[in-house]
Formats: sequence, C-alpha cells, structure tokens
Amino acid sequence: MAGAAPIMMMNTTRSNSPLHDARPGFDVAGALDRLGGNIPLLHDLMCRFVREHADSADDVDALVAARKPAHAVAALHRLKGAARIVGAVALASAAQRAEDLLMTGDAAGLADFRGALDAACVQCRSITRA
Amino acid sequence: MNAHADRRRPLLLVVDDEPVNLHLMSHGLQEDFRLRTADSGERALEAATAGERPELIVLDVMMPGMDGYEVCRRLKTRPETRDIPVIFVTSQSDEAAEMRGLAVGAVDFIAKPVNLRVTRARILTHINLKRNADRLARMSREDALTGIANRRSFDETLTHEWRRSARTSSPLALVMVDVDFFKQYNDRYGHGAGDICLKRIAAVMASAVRRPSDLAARYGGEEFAALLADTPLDGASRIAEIVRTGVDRLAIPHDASPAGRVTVSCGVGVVVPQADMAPTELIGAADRKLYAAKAEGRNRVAA
Repeated sequence: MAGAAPIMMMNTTRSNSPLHDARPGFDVAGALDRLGGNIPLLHDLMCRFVREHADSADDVDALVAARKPAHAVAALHRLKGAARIVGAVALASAAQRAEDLLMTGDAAGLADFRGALDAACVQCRSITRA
Repeated sequence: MNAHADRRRPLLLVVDDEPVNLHLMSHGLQEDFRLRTADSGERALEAATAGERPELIVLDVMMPGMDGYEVCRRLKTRPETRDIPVIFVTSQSDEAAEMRGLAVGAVDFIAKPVNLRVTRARILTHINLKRNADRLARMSREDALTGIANRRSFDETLTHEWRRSARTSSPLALVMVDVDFFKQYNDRYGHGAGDICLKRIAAVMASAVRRPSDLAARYGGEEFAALLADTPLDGASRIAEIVRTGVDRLAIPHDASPAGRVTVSCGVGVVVPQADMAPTELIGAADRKLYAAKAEGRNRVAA
C-alpha cells in the first residue's frame, strides 16, 4: 500500500518476513494475534483464501441467477468466516451485508461485495509477496 | 518427534466445510495435537469411527447438507462415539444457538474468528476433563488390588448378560472360585504375601477368560468369579479346570494347606434365564457347587 510504512509484526515462530499494517479494510495485527503471532501461518491462510475464494463472487452470482438464494447465503457465510480469519474485515462486513440483502430478496448489493472481494484478494497477494 | 511421543498427542477430529478454517485448525494446532479432518457432516460421522477414536471433535455448526447440530446429535446416539466431547465452532453468538448446541450434547463453544491460544486451551481443558472422567469410571469398575473387574462391575455385567441371555434363550454360566485355606495363608505368610497371592490368581483368571463377552472379576475377599456368556456346562467346566490347574501350576508354597501349595476350589452353575427367574439363581447354583467342591476335599471343580 502506497505510503504505508512496513513494520515488523511480532514473530514468535518461524519467519522474519515483514507484514504491512494499515492495509485498507484489513486488521492484520488482529488476525496475527489470534494466530499467536504465527506469520507463516497467516501467509499460508491468505494464499489459501485467495485460491479458494477469488472467484466466489462469480459463484454467488451464479447461485442467485439459478434462484438458489439459500445456497448463495451459505457461500457468503463461509467466505465471511474465512475473511475474518485472515483479517479482511471490510470484506467480512460486505459479505454480511450481501447476506442480509439476499435474505430480503435484494441482489443489487452484490456489486459492493464483488468489489470488496477483489480488493481483499489484491491485498492478500500484496501481503504474501512482501 | 518420534512415533511414541507422537502417539501421546491427543487425536482431534476437526470438521469444517471451509478450507481456510480447516487449514487454520490443522496447521495451527499440529504442535499439540494429531489432526484428522472432515469437510462435511457425513464425512465427519465416518471419520469419527475410522480406526483410532478421536479424543475430541471440533465441529463447525453451519455446513451444507448435514449441519453440525445433526452431526452432534448422531454422534451422541452411537455407543462408540457418544462419549467423545464435541466443541462447536460458530459465528452465531446468540443464546438460542448455544442452547441448541448444548441440548444436542456439545460441551463448549468457540467463537469465530478462532483465536488459536483460546482454542488450544479449551480443547486441552476438555480433554483433561474427559481423561479424568474415564479414569474415575475405570477405577469404579476395577478391583484396586488385582486390576481385574470388581464386584460392582460383576453385578452390572451379570444384569446385562442375564437380560441378553434371556432374549436369546442362551445358557449363561458362572464359575465361582475360592482360594483354599486362604485365612491360614494370611496367618502363616502375612497379608502382604496374601495380596501377592490374590494378584497371581487374578492373573490366572484373566488369562483363562479371554472372550470379550466374558468377565473375570474379584467377587470379594479370596473369592473370584468368571461370567461366561452363551456357554453350556461342559464349556464352563473346562474354563474352571483351566483356572484350577493354572493356580496349581503357580506352585505357591502353602505350609498350612494339606496340598502344600495354594489351590482353589471351583463351582460351576449354568442357567438359561427365564422371565420368572432372577440373576441370584445363577449365583446360588454356582455357590452350591462351590461348597460341594469344598466338601469333597477342595482343589477341584464341581459342576
């Protein structure tokens, strides 16, 4: 992220790789704290998150188009949980809003979710390359 | 970590349909636990009974198909899994969700997003509680001196086997075993030696009674019992003779016995339980034969 100074997070385990704080929409410090400061594990989880969920917006759209709102809500719920694990708080909020909208029959709010997902994946890729 | 140390780490089953969650748990907890994973409720039920039983199950609530509540409910109805503690992992923090989880048998909840330190501590707490409960349950059924089943365990097993034999109209046999001149043995050699003698006889009983459905127990004092399911008189008499000769071969010196060594007398009773009979009838039958064996000169089987 432009202008964000890299800081060394607490690292009690296996790596010296730096993580950048103050990522928009991310709470990296909180995620890392929940993992006991295990930076390599957070990296793994972010990579896994991108691999599993980068195309999830398409999946949700397809489920909505197929008139399977309950399945779409379930997919969003899963993604929301994964997003919280890696600290993608803005995406988790967007997924929650999308869940709420779908449950009221409104699919218009899914665009926000797609944008939040794309941004989170960009950040995860950036963090894990750092 | 060598294989022995690895075996000492508790085995966990972690169930979650979300790969990121599974990765978090399986990699974040691997230093303290051995991990088995399942990505659906259906697979969780299979994984819970595949080979070594997990000591604890960490179960996601919301899963497509069979959800965590239903998985837990089914686990609690199966004898082989009902005692495995289940901790739910959930993002639902409302009272109704927790009450529902506790109602189906969960012992605790972990909130998402998971904090590994808290998760590890909660898992260890519940595993320790379960191990202590298992130890107490084992101690309550085990004779402290000899390590074989105690009287309580014998009574429970007799009641259970009596009903089973009544249902199947099959013979239930009981061999009562009494150490000959044991009071004199204690008087001559002391209670310490008496305890060792009882332990060695209990080992003979345990090695003679090998089928999983059978039970070797210390009935009380110097009296032992072998409960043999689906066993007719000749089979039970054979087991009794194996016990008698096994003790005889121990050749434990006993100056105060006419035989010069420790011997046992055995009484064999067999009953096909009927609706109007009580388990005490089987004990009475074996006891009468035991007294007959004593009256006939000891160190023998009466059937």
